[in-house]
Amino acid sequence: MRLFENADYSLIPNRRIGYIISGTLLTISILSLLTKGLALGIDFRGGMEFVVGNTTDLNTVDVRSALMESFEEEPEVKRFGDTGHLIRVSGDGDITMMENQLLTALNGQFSGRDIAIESTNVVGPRFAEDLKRGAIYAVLGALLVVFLYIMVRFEWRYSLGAVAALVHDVIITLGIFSVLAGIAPFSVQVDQSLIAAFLTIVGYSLNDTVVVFDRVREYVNLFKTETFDVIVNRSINATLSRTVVTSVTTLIVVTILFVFGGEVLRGFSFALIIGVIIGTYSSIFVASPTIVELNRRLEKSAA
Amino acid sequence: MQGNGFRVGLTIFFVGLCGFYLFPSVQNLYVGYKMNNMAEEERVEYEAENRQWLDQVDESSLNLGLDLQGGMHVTLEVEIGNLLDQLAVNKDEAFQGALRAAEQRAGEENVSVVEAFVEAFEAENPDGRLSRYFRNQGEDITRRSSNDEVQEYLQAQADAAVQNGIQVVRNRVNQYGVTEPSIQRQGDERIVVELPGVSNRERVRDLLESASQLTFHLMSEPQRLGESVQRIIEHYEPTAEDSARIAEARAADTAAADTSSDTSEVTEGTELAAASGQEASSGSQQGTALTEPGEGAQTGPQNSILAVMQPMPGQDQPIIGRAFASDTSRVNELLGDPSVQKMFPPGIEPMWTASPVLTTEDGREAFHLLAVRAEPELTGEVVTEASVQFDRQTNEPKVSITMNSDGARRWDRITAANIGNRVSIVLDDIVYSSPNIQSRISGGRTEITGLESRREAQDIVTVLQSGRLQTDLNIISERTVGPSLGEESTRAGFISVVAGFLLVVLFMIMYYRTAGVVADVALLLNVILILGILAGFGATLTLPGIAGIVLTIGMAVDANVLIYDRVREEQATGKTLRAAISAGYEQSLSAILDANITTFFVGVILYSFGVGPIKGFAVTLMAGILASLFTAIIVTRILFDYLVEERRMQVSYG
Repeated sequence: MRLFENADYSLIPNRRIGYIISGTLLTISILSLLTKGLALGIDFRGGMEFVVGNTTDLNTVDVRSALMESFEEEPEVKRFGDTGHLIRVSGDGDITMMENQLLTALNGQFSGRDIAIESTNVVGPRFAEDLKRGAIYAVLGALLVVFLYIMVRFEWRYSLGAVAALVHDVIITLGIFSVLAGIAPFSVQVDQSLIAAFLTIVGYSLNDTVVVFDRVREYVNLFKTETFDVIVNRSINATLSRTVVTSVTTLIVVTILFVFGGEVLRGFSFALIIGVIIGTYSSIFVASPTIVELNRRLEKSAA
Repeated sequence: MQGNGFRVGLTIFFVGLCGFYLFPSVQNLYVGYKMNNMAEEERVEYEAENRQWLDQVDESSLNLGLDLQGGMHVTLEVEIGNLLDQLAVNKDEAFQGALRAAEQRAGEENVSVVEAFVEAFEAENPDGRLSRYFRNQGEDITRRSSNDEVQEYLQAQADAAVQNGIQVVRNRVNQYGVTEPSIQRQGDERIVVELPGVSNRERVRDLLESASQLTFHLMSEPQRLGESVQRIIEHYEPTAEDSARIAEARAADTAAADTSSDTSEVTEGTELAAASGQEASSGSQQGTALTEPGEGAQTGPQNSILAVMQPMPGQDQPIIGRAFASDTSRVNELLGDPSVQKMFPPGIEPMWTASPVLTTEDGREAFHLLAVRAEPELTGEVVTEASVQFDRQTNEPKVSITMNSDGARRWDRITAANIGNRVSIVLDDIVYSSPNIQSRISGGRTEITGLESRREAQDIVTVLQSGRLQTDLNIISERTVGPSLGEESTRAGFISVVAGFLLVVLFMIMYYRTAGVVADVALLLNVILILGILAGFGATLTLPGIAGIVLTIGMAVDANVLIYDRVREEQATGKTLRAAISAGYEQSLSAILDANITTFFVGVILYSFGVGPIKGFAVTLMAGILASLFTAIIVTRILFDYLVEERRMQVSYG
């Protein structure tokens, strides 16, 4: 089977279409991030999460109303896979007290079913602050290291192209999480594991970009008479088949993780699905056009 | 095939190495499966017979994270601000202000409380001297000490407090009887505790957070204790209903007897003397030769207390008995029974020793259970100084303690009334030392002599020094996963790995035909290598880690895809198969390396900033990159060379 063999699409000449798509997505993302913001998980906000079992047949609304009386602030209640419900309480206090309060309220309302706490996740506000700082450092650090490595192996124009694509990917993925907050039927909260997903997206998108750039580097030496635009366009086409095949295999596995990986990994694998699609798109429509545009500026200023 | 000899050798070496590291895990899976199919009785017997081997296999197996096997992950923070407050004297506005600012700042930025405190104080009081708050002769902090010296001293104190916190946590966890707990320091002020398979969260929280205090206690009279122990043993004499437990007890007895040949003789005899008094003569050491653990249990494998503890009556020390670390929680449980508690002399509480009294050759440690008076005579605040010193004549290590005037006055009275008796130094219900009072000690300067080693002396000093301050531990994060949720996650992870693997394998065969099969062989090897690397480095497999493996399965074929597409391109230019393969590998190498090295860097960053399960994800990601580089570049090349050059096969690249 062969896909995109001898592909010869006019991708660089038509890069404005990519600009329009990316521009629109970026605008929506940034607007949503500024107005609606992100739903931060307790990792970064502090708070307590409890998964209660033996409630699978109960309605989320009923569970929430059962809890409303005994808690000052209305707790968030969500269905949690086949186990039962996830209950999220903000603020910090005595964990044991909170647990007992929760169980008393639930077992009082729905008697005779022995509701028990399956798992807890508690993060103190100070610790959350530390985790948030670590996450920001991690993402920025990753971008910096990538920039430097590509600068050493290629040159600074390529570095800018790669990092532009990465920033594009991370902003749009964050934007989609912001838009979906409160709408999606699964957790789209930003927590530790989502940061791991972002960095994986960074790694994946970069992988794609580097493969194209490597070909550009090769063709620049091979076709000395051609213009840079043509060379980049040819490089993208030459690697298109590989780009698609790798995206397909990666999409297969992240979709499987999304479907079979269980409730804990759902947000994580969803971010990866978006990231793989956007990362593939950006290496063609963001990273490559960026080096073309930079090259034009340079030639113009040299002339 | 020139040059392939080395490649083949390398492959065999790595695969062999991974096989070596994975072998115990496979054994463990097999044994678990086998024991699941056994009848209850058969299993107990099997476990008893192979206990050592089973432990060994389990220990060298691939570790499963708490999110997969269920358990509790707690991050504790030592309250350094509180410690500074306790250390300081003459506290004024400037001190309180700096402390508040420091606590605030340490919560927001990545600085230690001590550093933030010194900086905050200096910013507000440019000419201020910290030494006025922290004067301490024993530590050489005088009025003239510079702020840098004070900072160093405070940092050392904070460090000791965290170390002490770790010790306290370890003792408490040991008492609770968790298998394979992990207690680690994280950063400056934090302690991470991982307890697999804990179900009683509330008790663990109380256990970890409760404040600890150093106290001095008198002990029970040995004669009365002997009668009590006898009554307790009689209480646990089996009745007819207990016969079901016989098998279990016998198993424990067999295990105890196994170790009997390895026990070393340990003497215990520390003495307390007034510093001004005569040096303790070594001849008066009350060495107690221990008997072998199997002996005491001889009388009754059926008796539940004797099955786990060997009573040690007739001593001149108030020792109730001796038990292995693994049995201490069971002993606590048996002795905690209200009707049994009443059998002790009034006001007496059993407490374990901090250091093992003997260690068997296979690393099992046994502790003494001492009968201590519950009511403390003195609390740790009276200790102003403690240090290790050496006897001028015998050069033996000893511990020197200085008490404040209030403590010294009471100490005088206590020692005068109890010459010849023992006093125990207790932190957190654990006895660190129980020396014999040799003479009345006036003036507050006390020495503990007759110590085994410098280390023992140092341990006691550490406890005395840091234990006099109250170390507060706060839970700042907790993650608990119940066993059923862990099982669900394991199943979900396993299904994802298998499904992802099969689909990618099918896709590769469909797309690349024969070459796809070769890539699939490499992929299978890849997964084995990842698991081998994890097992070899003693890493822990978490749910995000499994996600990392699934992701690697999808991304690992990338290197092969790059090579294959290049081979196809080369073939299209009219090259022969052999030339195309050779060119394909050469031409794609730089892209493969650049792409993978950058991703590997991202993995390193993720590892250094992530916590808990995320670290596990980063580890598998990095292991996956290394494994896929190896399999894609080396292993597939060997296979192609073999197929094309030896078998003269027309390999299809689809």
